[in-house]
Amino acid sequence: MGDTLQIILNVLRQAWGALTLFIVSAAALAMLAKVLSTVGASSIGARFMVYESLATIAAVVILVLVAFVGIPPIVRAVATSIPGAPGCGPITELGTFASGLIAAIAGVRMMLAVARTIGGAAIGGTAEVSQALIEVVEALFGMLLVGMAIPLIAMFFTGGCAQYQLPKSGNPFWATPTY
Amino acid sequence: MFFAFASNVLQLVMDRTVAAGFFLSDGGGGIFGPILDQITGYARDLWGVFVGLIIIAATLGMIVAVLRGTGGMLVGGSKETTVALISVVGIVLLVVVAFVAIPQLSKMITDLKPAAPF
Repeated sequence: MGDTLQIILNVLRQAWGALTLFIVSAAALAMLAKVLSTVGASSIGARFMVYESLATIAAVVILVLVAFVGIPPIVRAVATSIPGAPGCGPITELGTFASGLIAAIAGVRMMLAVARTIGGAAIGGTAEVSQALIEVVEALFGMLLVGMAIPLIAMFFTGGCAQYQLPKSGNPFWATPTY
Repeated sequence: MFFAFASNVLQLVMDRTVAAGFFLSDGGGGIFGPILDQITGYARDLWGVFVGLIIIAATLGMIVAVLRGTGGMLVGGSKETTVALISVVGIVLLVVVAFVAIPQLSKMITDLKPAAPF
């Protein structure tokens, strides 16, 4: 399981690298596209203001800063907060496997949300900082919930080890513990 | 090990995928290298197109502004002339931002690019 986890993490690391490179190119294009739209509008007589273009550039830079400076510490925090090995036997392996994957998937998904927003801005859309941040928080919260659910489900369905058992208060689905 | 068979099969598949990816790419983007190379190529082409269009649009925009200002002067409208001058300054400012500030910002963003935190 450990080798498999490392291979999957390697693929996710490469996905992270590809997404960061994509974000860099898309951000540069998004800034240039906004300048082009403002200059193009002024060439046909429209009175667009310079600040509109500069505001979009600022939004793109803020998004990239959030992605490149804010997301890595969040992913590290998620990785340390997810319980690693609940229960015993195969559940321990599954727990370790899942806790390694959850943080990586959350990181890639957060980066993907930012890349999607900046990619949209690069082809002429608006750079909606709020939408990207909402997606980032959704990914973070979802992965944290999953991280909390893993040990509980493991204990609930398998009985787990004696030190991890929940109270048995009349639950008909509670498995008989095996010592 | 309870899940040994799954581990071996998955490892074999992933090893082959990663090996195929490295053969196809230049080694920079891993298994996503070929796609990334294409996207980067398109982005470079698009950058060139944008730069050309900005030059054309800025030239036309300044000509339109000068025409508007000259027309305003012709009929004695000082406000039109002032607005035309401001438009020219705005266009020049935008072009400076596009050709000087954006490449610097892009370099800064490239330097900030983080390694995978997992």
